[in-house]
Amino acid sequence: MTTLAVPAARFTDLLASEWIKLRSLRSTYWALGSCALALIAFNANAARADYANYPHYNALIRREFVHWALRDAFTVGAAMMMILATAGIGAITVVGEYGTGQIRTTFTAVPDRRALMSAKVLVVTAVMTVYGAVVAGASYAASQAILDGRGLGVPIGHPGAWRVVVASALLAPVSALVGMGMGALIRHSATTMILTTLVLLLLPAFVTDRYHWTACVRNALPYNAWVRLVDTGYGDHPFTLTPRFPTTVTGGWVVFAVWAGVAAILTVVVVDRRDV
Amino acid sequence: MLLGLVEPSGGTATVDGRPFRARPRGLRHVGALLDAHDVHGGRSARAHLHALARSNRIPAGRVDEVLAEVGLTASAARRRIGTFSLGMKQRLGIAAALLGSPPVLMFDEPLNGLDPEGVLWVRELFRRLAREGRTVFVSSHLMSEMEHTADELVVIGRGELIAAESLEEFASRGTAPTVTVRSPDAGRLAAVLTAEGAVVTPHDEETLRVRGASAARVGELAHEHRVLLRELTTQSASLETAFMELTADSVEYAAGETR
Repeated sequence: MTTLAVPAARFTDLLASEWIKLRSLRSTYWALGSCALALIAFNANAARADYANYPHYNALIRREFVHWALRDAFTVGAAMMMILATAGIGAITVVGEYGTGQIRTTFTAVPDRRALMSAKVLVVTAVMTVYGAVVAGASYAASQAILDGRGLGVPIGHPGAWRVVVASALLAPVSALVGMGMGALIRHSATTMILTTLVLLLLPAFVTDRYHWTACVRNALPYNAWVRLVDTGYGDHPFTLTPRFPTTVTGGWVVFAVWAGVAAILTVVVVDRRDV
Repeated sequence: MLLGLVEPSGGTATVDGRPFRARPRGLRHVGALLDAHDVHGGRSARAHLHALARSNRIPAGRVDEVLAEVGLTASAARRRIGTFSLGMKQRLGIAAALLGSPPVLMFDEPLNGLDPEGVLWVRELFRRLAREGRTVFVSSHLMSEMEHTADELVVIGRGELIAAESLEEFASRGTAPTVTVRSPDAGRLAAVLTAEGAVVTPHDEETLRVRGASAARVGELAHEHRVLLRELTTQSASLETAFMELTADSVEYAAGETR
């Protein structure tokens, strides 16, 4: 009997394997590629609109225009679409394995489920971070280049400009991890998608900031954290109403970190504990 | 349960003395094909095997070896698994099980969807793997197929162990062999055989079913008593009948019965 020698189990092998799995699916390229183009186009179009409308803007808007320019760098619509797409892709990396039965083959090859799911979480996080950086970076470059046609583009060194890019880029891995966590909990594709959309996109619209406790819930949602992080004129320019329960930039980062961390731990632990 | 995918409500299951889930990587210890559909249809066969091999630190060259072994061509290996027939998926599943060249292999109903040539190939493959000193664990409902493949049988009915023994022992538990004999003088032959202590059941005017006497003995007696024979055959008890008799008490869903 020729058996192969058993080498020590290395975590990097699992990372490589999960990377092969992610890149060997055509849907990954289609989903990521088409969304990236759409998102960059969305943001560039917002800049184009401001470029075209600028002559009609009054003195007040013109004085505050740097905030408008930074808002064009990553628009609210683009952020929502980014959340939807990346959360969906994140969820599919988990639900896709359960739905097809691949999970049984996977766990037969790698009985150490915690290690496997950790590898999956890390690969998805890394890919999504790069993806978010590319999309947010390209959006920033495209939108400011268009506004530069009137000399209105904001250089990346401007206070708050980096924050807009980084917060928008991180929206991708944070949403993807939430999608993975929901997928690991629910394990059913349609239900996962609906509930993930509900939590990430609908809840922020429903919850008011009128009462203290609802404001706490609202501010703890990733979408609202992003809104706060990219709001460079928060509290000090005439177009933002100062909310009754104000939030901070640090609070925004903390919300991102907590959601990502809890979702990642959930993905690893829940899958480890359950039968497949 | 053996592979740690499902937790048993009681007791433990070990492979080679260790619970499977205690091993960080599985492919070099146990190769398994549980359900040929347990694959993501969006990947190519090669990418699927490549990812599995990589996770277990198995050199990428093994992928080509097992693909060749199960007869999946290079062009088939590049196709998406979703386009595969069940037979091709079975072959892919067997390829995945062989990747780590493990000492223990488990196959659940591996013959489903295979063409007759594929069935022969699988049978020969299993025998070869066993000859190499590997334990090949095959679960099947096809008793006649097991008759061709297995050395040892484990019979489970309604979650209870019914038998765990060699194929011969199991088969011999069933009804003793019957001899069918046909003669124009069946009446006289029956009398002779009964006198010898055999149990004779007339089948039709010419045919008798004989138990308790071998075909050779029936022939000898016919010769001694100058009875003309037109047919003399032995029906050895098949695994199927032995199985049916042993599991009769534990059939969960018997046909034609109100439950």
